[in-house]
Amino acid sequence: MNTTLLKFLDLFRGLYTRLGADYEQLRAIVDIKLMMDNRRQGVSYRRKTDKEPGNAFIMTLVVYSIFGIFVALALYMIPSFILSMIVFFSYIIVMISMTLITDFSSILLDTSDNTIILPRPVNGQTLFAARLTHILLYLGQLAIGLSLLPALVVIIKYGIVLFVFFLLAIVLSVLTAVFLTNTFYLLVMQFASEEKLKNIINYFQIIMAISIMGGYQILPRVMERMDIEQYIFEVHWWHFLLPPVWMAGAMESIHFHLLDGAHIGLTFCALVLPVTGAYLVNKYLSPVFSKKLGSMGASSEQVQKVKTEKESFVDKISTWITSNPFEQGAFDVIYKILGRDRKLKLKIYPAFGYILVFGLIFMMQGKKDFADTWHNLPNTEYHIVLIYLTFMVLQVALHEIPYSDDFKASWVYFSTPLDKPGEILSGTLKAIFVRLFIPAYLGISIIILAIWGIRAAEDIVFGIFNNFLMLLTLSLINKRHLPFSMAPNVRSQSGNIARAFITFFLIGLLGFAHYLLSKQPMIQWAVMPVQIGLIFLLLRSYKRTRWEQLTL
Amino acid sequence: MESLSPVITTSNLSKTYEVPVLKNINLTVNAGEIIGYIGPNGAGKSTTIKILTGIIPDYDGEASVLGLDIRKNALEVKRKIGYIPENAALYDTLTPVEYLHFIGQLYKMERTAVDKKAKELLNVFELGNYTDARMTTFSKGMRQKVLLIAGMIHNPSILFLDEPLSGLDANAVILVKEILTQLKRGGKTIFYSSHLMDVVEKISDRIMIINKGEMIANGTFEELNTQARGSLENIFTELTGNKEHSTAAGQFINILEN
Repeated sequence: MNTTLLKFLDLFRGLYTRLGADYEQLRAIVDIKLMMDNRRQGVSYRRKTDKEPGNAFIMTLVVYSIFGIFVALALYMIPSFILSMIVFFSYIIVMISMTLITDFSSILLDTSDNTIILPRPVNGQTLFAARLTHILLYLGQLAIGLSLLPALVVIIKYGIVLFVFFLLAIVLSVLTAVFLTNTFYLLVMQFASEEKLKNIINYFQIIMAISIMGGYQILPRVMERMDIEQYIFEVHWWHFLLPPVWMAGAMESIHFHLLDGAHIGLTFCALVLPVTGAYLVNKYLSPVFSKKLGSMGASSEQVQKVKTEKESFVDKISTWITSNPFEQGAFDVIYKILGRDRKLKLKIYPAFGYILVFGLIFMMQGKKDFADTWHNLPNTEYHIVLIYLTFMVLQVALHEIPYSDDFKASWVYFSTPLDKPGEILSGTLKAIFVRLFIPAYLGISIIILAIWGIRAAEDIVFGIFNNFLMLLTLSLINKRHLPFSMAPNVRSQSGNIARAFITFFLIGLLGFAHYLLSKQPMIQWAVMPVQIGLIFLLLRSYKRTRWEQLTL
Repeated sequence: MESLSPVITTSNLSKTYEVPVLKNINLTVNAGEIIGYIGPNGAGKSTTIKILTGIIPDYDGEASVLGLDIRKNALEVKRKIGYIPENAALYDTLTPVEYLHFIGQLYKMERTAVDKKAKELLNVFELGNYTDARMTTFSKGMRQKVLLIAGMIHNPSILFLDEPLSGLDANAVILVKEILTQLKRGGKTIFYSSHLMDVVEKISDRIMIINKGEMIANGTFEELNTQARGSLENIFTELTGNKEHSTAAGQFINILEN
């Protein structure tokens, strides 16, 4: 597939040469980059195989076009022309900007080019053009994939003429997205260090994971309830700030031959601003950007210092809730890593958002009127659902905690005279609970108290014990691994679904029991000592885990 | 003795990041010399090499390689020299042959020739069985071998090596030493930095010691020996002002025991 792409590139040889790039070198760089992309995907999407995915390009296209199904449906079903177009162009621009920020950042911020290509006789224009080409190929793939099905809808519904303008608008949208992301990067880099930038990107990735999940779950449900049949679009001044509205306005103007001031204004914006933006990127932003990137490798030699004030607070907690040096050591280390390891955060933190997404889905189930549901909420017992949904964070964390890229560092467990590995396990468990569950639960509790009032207080207390009991039970029945001690690619996929199913079943059961008990607050208070006793017993048993009980 | 035409010269070469890292370095290297460039961590060794190879374009003072002003002719300089970086940075999802093929293309070498050369060189370095394995699984020594080949594949007339021996096993060190000596015999100039004093002592024609951005010694081993006595290791600690090694070691033991 790469050869086909490169042959396509060969068509532009003259253009590249005129831009001052050395085409042979550029082709070599792009070739190698595409090859590495293929292999990188091979690692992250499926399990590690050494087999070359022969048609990775096509595969990615297919995946993206599946992403496009939803928006194609929206385009097909929303009666209001302009609304359907706004939905589509928002989708394209948001998806491309987000992907540029999240997926592509690793490639963009990769400074290994500095050490590998810079010492070779390659001039600046060539390297820059190669990078740009690489990004454009990638974006092209993304844009084509995403708009494949929507374009089909446009042809069927509105005919071939609009389709041509539609394609043009997509190109302009991509330009807009590139301009927006570039500006975003530069702004952030202006004020933040490389390390901070990586953190910000990390949070974007987390938000992206949540919003994709949330978007697909919630948007269709919201649209079902909205009165889109009667939707009438009026142009307001702030619409001129929104690129998707420009594109949609231009489409409408072309399709219905509308030539009033507002439409002409939007069409003008749609045509002129992206092109101006692209010009600005090329002329002013890119050089600044490349320079910043170039200086990145150099500054990375500085040692990053960690703020120490916050740690003393953690130290206090850890002495308070752990009982011996092994446990405390494990608690401290795991607590800190959970807050710093970006890869780990990317895997665990989206669960925070899923709590709310699933919470909303539960509450909206089968209800027609959203406002009515909302007003009725305090009379329901849905807060119990929220209490147990919070366990999702723990479920994900339990699943991730044995694995790490730095799994080799676990040699310390074996070289030190560690006689009770259970202490490490219980310290880990406590760290997960304090670092991940407590903040999430606090947030949820505030929401619950705000909506359901003080009557939910005992449910909240009761729930936290149950969640911890659940965590302990799962840890006891699952295979026990030392934290961060296994290579990520050895993860066995077998039994995962069964395990998740059992977990959800148990959680559901627990929640239902809680629901039954919640009618009698007195019994609830009476059961709490039993819960605490159970926690104590189970924790002690977990703490006594011997080496033979571990799966290494 | 080869002709004594200088191939590398600098005058008052300086570089400042937040603090000055190189201060008025003046050095001359003649064709066919092996220069051992040593100094403590953070002394400015890598910065010097990066300037001389055209990787860092903004510096103060003058520097020229093969008679070309680096500031003006960076590309031409890069074409004629080879550089082996210290941090084993390479595209490790590639196989060594793919990687070397790519590097060869950047030097505009003929494709089939590069591949043939790459395979033969990998064979010499005992990596013949790994030509089609991805480098993600390679040990540091194996990567270093690939980097050595990548730096020399275009047969440059001057070779800059930044810690070329790190991670190599004893046999490979001997092999690289031998390669460097034979390259010199073939008229190549070699400028390298290392922490391995005994190697530097044995193969260098001249030794330059840099400390805190300043050149503090420059001469043959015999010449340095007159400034301070003993092995190069002794000379090095003498000149870089780190004479308290045994005191520090004593302290270390003391703290451990208490």
